[in-house]
Parts: sequence; structure tokens; C-alpha cells
Amino acid sequence: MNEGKNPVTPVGIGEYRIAHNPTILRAMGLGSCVGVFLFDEKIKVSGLAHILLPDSPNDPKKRSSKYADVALREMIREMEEKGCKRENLKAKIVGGAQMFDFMDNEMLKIGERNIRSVRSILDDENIPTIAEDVGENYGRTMEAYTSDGRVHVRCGTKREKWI
Amino acid sequence: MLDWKKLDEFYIDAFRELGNIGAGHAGSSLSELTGKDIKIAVPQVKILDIGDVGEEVGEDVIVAGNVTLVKDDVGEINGYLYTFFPEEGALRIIDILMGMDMGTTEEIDEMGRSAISEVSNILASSFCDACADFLDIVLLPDPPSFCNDMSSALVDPILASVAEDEEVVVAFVTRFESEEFGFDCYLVFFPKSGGLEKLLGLLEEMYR
Repeated sequence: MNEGKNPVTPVGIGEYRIAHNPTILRAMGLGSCVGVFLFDEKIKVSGLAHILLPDSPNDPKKRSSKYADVALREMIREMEEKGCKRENLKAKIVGGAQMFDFMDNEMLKIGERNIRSVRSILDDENIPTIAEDVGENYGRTMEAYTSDGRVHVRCGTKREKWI
Repeated sequence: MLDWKKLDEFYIDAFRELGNIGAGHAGSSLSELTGKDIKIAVPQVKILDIGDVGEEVGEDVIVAGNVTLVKDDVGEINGYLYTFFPEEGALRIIDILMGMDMGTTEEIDEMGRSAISEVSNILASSFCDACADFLDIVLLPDPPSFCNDMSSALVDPILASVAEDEEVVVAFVTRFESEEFGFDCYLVFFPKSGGLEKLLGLLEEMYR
């Protein structure tokens, strides 16, 4: 779904992207991964992080944006450098599904752990979550419109919605 | 950590031989099960960066299949084995196993899930058999988990569980062929905690 002729910026697993022009930030096939979209309505700067894992290990060599804490904190800092005000930032979060019926524990809970970690970081950073589509047992593709902050969520080929 | 970009033609050849033995096993099991002459092509072997599996299949492509944890009997090699079919092929598997005309099935119901799961099981156990034949290791699969969704979404939880210590996966891409049908099939091995290095060591020992 691409209304109008907005360019699309894909955001791969473990990456985040920041945009300050009208564009669509897209995270394809979020399973247990979580897509966190932050936007500042006033100056129209947005960011999308495609998070794979909840918390980074203590080892500084393993710091990477595939972890929720590293990705979100770095993305927020870069957005502030681009002029975003913390009090204007709002979040929408998508994904964190449980893709398999049964599996070893660590894998079963990963979506849930990702969501919990994202919520607690956003809480710490005083950023309100104004919409979400999370959990359940199916994959999602999210497209975030940086012009107005709307997010389109598609599940498989059948269901879709705007949040 | 292993520098996967240095994996040369030798390992690809060795994996192809392994895949070939597996495909042979799987072809005869499936022919036996269905009473049809099903051939499985010599697999293409791809060593992929762990984040690129979804892209290889097509991130948006809906697939159906199984994920299972496999481990050897001495605790050295373990990982996830992911066997799946893009949805069109999955629907044809249901036709074949249910003895229906090709193109009949349009949706994956409870019965369809078991059919796909059964064929996925055959592929996974053929891979384990090939490892036994070729590398003399005993790989035992856990009960599988059925999945049917976007390929990249299904890879997520596996990535999350192996991404801290491995960077590559081994993908076998092949085709099921008979007089009536032909469709793609994927078997992807996600080694855990140094498992790939040990597997490569074995290939080298056996083959070089």
C-alpha cells in the first residue's frame, strides 16, 4: 500500500532509519521483531527502528542496534540532533508476535520480551505510545508515513489496518 | 568467529554433496508415501548472511513448513532446521497427499497443515540421514513446529535465538518435480553456538 508517490525507505533487521522528508519508512515481515516508529509532529522528523532482541549484553563489543536499548537510545539521540524536542516525540509500536506454537522457552517468549523492553525504555525516556498493534501469532509489515505519522499495518495477504 | 566470506568453493561442493544425498533420501520417501514418481533436483547451496534469509525467499512471500531444533548425540552440533515451501507449492503438496487434482486446494486447513508438516518432516529427517551417511554424525530432531506466514516474520525468532553467536546459515534450495507439478522447496540450517565451524571441520575431514 503506497498512497501517492512517496519514496520508500526500507529498514532491515537490526537497523534504524531517520527521515526528515516525506517518505515511507518500511519494516517488512516483523515476526517476533518489533518496529518502533517515533515522530515529532512539529518539525516532521521521524525514525523507525527494526528491533530483533530486547536488552544488550554488558559486553561493549556486542553493542549493536539489533538490541532495543541501543537502537532506541541512539535513534532518540540522533533525532534530537536533528532538532526534535523530547516532549514532542510520540511512539507507535508494531510486531512482537509469537510465531510458533511450541518451541524452547527462549524462543517462545522473544516477541513478548521485545515488547516489554521497548515499553520500559519508552517509559524511561518519557515518550508516550499513542498506538500499537502487537503480540498475537502472525507476522506484520509496517509502513510509517513521515508526512503525517500514520502507520499502515499489513498481516499476510488478508488483514490490514491503519494505526 | 568464523569468517563466512572466506567459505570457498570446496565447502559449497561438500554441502552440495550432502544436499544431494538428502534429496535422494527425500525423493524416495516421498515417492513411496504418495505412489507418484517425485524427483528432487540437486539442491543449490547458498551460504547466507543471517539477516538475508527473508530476502532470499522474498520477504513478503507467504510460506508454510516446519521449524525444528536438531542436536547431535554428543552435544557438539545443534541448530534449527527450517523446511518450507512458498504457499503455492504448499497447496500442491496438500493436493498430492490428499489425492486431489492439481490446483484443487486453495487454503491451508487443519488437514492441510498435517500434510505439509508430514512432507517437511520427511525433508528434515532426510537431511539428518544424509548427515549420518556422509559425516557419520547422529542428528536428532525435536518435535517440529508448524508455521504459515511471511518468510521473514518466521525467521525472526530463530534469528533472535542464534544471532548472538552465529552470522551465517546454510540454505539448500531445490525443486520437487513430477509429471504433473514442479515447485520450489527450501531447507535452511541455522547452526547455534559454533555448530557451523564443527560441521565444516567434519566436511573437511571427510572430503578433502
